[in-house]
Amino acid sequence: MKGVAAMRKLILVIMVLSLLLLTGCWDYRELDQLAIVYAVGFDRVPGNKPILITLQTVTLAGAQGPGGGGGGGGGGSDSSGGGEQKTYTRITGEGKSFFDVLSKLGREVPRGIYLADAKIIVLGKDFAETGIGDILDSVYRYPEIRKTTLVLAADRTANEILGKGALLEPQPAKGLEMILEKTETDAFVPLVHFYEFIAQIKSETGVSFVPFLELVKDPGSEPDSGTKDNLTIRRTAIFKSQRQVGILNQAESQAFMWLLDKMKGEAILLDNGSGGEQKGPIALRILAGRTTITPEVSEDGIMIHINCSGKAALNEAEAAGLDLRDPETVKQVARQASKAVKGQIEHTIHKAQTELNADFVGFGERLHDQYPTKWKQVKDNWDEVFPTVSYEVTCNIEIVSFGLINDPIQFSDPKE
Amino acid sequence: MWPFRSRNNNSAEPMFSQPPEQQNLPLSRALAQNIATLQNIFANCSDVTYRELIIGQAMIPAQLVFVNGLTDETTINESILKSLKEIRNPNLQITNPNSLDEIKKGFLEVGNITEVLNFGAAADAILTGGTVFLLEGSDKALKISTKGIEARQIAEPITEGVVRGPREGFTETVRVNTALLRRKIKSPKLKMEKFIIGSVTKTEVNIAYLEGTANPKLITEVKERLSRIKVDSILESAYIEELIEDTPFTFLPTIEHSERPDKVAAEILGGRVAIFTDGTPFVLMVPTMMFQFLQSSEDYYDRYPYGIMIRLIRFLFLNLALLLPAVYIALTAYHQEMLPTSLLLSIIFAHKGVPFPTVVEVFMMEITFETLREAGIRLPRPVGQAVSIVGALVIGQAAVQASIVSPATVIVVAVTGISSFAIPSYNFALAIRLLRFCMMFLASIMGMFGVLLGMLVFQAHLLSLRSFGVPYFAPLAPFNLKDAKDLLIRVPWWAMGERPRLLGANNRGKQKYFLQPGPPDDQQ
Repeated sequence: MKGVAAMRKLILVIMVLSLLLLTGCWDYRELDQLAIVYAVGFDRVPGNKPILITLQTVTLAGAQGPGGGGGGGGGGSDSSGGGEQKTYTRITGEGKSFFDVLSKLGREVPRGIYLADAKIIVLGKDFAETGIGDILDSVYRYPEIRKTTLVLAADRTANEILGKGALLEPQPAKGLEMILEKTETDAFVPLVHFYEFIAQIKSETGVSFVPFLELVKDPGSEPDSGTKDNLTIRRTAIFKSQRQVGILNQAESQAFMWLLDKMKGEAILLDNGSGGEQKGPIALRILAGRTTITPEVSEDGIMIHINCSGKAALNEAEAAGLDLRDPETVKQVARQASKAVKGQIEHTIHKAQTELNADFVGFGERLHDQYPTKWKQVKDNWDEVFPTVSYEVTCNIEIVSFGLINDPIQFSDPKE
Repeated sequence: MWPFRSRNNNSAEPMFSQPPEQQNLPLSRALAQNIATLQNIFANCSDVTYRELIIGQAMIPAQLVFVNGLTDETTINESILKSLKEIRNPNLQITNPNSLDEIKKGFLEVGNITEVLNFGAAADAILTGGTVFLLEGSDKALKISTKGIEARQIAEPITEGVVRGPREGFTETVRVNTALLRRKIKSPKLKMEKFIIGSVTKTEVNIAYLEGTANPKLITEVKERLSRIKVDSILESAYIEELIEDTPFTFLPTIEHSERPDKVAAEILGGRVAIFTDGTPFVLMVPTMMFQFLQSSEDYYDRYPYGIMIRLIRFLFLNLALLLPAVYIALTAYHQEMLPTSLLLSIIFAHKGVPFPTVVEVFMMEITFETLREAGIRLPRPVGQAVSIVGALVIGQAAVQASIVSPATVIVVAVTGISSFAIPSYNFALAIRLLRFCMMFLASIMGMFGVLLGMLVFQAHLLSLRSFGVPYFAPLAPFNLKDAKDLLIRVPWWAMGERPRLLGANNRGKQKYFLQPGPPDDQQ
């Protein structure tokens, strides 16, 4: 009888094991069936298929013929490298929605479109300016796109910018990601992940910001050598109500980093034209910056105190007569730097209040945190209140390091 | 029928046992009759030698019976034949029943002599290398110990090499082996109990334990399990291992074996019971916990920091040996998003132009690797080298160049191979190899989910196993901090205050506390 029981047990085990096989490997996909997308770009085009999606995929050199892979419909894919082997391929598709485009592309691209390794999402100029809301939901919902993907705005269509190569890096999107990763040690623009971008849009003020990607002419290129443009990130795009409303220039972006309390590693160039004694430039590098923003509500209205402090290293002091062994001189330079930073910040806030009327500096958030009742009063007409908010900036930069030498070398001026 | 064992099933008598009537047949006084019976028992046994003798003034006929080759010729010639020839004692008569006793006491110059009364005992004595002395007119015979078989020299153990540590290993002779152990533990508390197992092979099996340290219940259980064995032959300790283990249906070995006397001595001192089997250098040790298979005796001979490092590395590589190909399959076929982009691209580039899916590739390579390894072990050494060269060239080079296999897969298989070599115990590594194929199968149909499922089942199985009543996964589960000092790490000797709780419960203290050395205190 024991044998029969054992036999039954064995049959049961075999049946359970064969259940495993019934799963049928439904999500099995072989590696070489994937089209690995590095960058996703969104554009808006006129017509009844308003969405143009550009995918920058990795070209597996040799696996496909030279010049990149197969054609895509809609906008078509291009591999404008001529005879040269391109390391990336641009695939373009049009449609009514994100999924509409993806499914159309699926019929054109032989491989499975694989978005999990996308490094950046580029919002094209028209797309950003006309509003991004209608498509973000479906993109954010899509499980394959990582929530840590970096978001960028661009100075032209995403389609165009994703066709440009980056310096040194074979994959342009990878190169852009690397540039953005530098902001951890040298904060020139805010680094915005997809989830942060969505959270900003959903926040109380609805103001969000992303780094601004642009093509600039390479200054070293010959004037008539055609277009030698480099992909650059140096400015910040400001979004309000899911629409790009303005762009902060380099200095404003820097001041913005102070306001975000993320200042680190940036250089402050002091303008020395009026100093009398001083001639050459003085450059300070902020080693660690710290900003506190404290709102204060009184009968007069809302007052925001901005206090930034930082430790700086003197990087360039090719200024005649600057005796760094004298503590007074150092203090003088520090005061000058503080003043410069203060001016920058004030200018940026002024721009936010007047020109853009977008509270990207986070006053509303701070008010919400510390004076929730007051916030409730002003929340609904914050757009009117925000430009009237008064603020006070104090800034204190301390110079802690002079580099390897104390005295400027002071090469003699040949004219003297 | 299903080979289920039953504890009370004694009905299956071994087929080839001698008829009991002949076993218990007493010796007669007539020498000729005794010899005839013995010749009947040993019919067609050309190695059994009968030596006729005439003893003393009374010219008593006598015979020596022994197996040529099992006995030491010098002992027979010098100590038996010579002394028997010099007998001049007039008391020796055929009619004197004490003649045999007098010869034994007065003349035979051999240490170990016992009397045998029946043919069964006589035959056993002859077969185990003794010489049986039969005398006319005596219904007893003498079993003279003349064991002297040509045996292998004590040599360095092949399966468990060390850089630092004793170089001697067990041999095929059980007495030599027990002597090697006795030489390490010079205490009367080291007990050795003898069993004869196998109705035809009559293999001598000894259990050794340290009285007062080993759990008496464990000793009783070992004896009980050994005495339950009713087989006709025991040729290697593996026969015993499979007949006494707790869980026959498992991939994992639950009994450890070793051919190192120092290792066996250490285990006995820790409260384990060792089972010596004649004819093999491999000694079984019970009970066994899984982590023992990850420990080498050299862990204790090198200084402890290195011991700790190497144990942690072994544990890491155990996991690699079990899981690496499975995880590789799961990641490349199902969860590409879990790979960093650059690694993913490298793997894709490596896989370019390979006609097989990754799953097929990995299975193909793993099976080829197993075949190569088997060929390397089994073939004569010079041929084995040729095989490894062919393997390295064909698989490492040609297959990759011909785009039959991707280099990434070759790397994975190679790392897995190295990892399984990092497991010191051969039989445990075999189990891990088998389980690796199960994991690969699960990974190829269900991806990482399958691997996790497999690991869950494996872990549950590990926790359910027992070896002679001791949890297999101890001391990790059930956890015991004091025992864990010799688990994944090895604390220095001065901190090994107590014996393992599960084994040496009776006698836990083994050394003084606070033995940590240091510079002398400055008295002045």
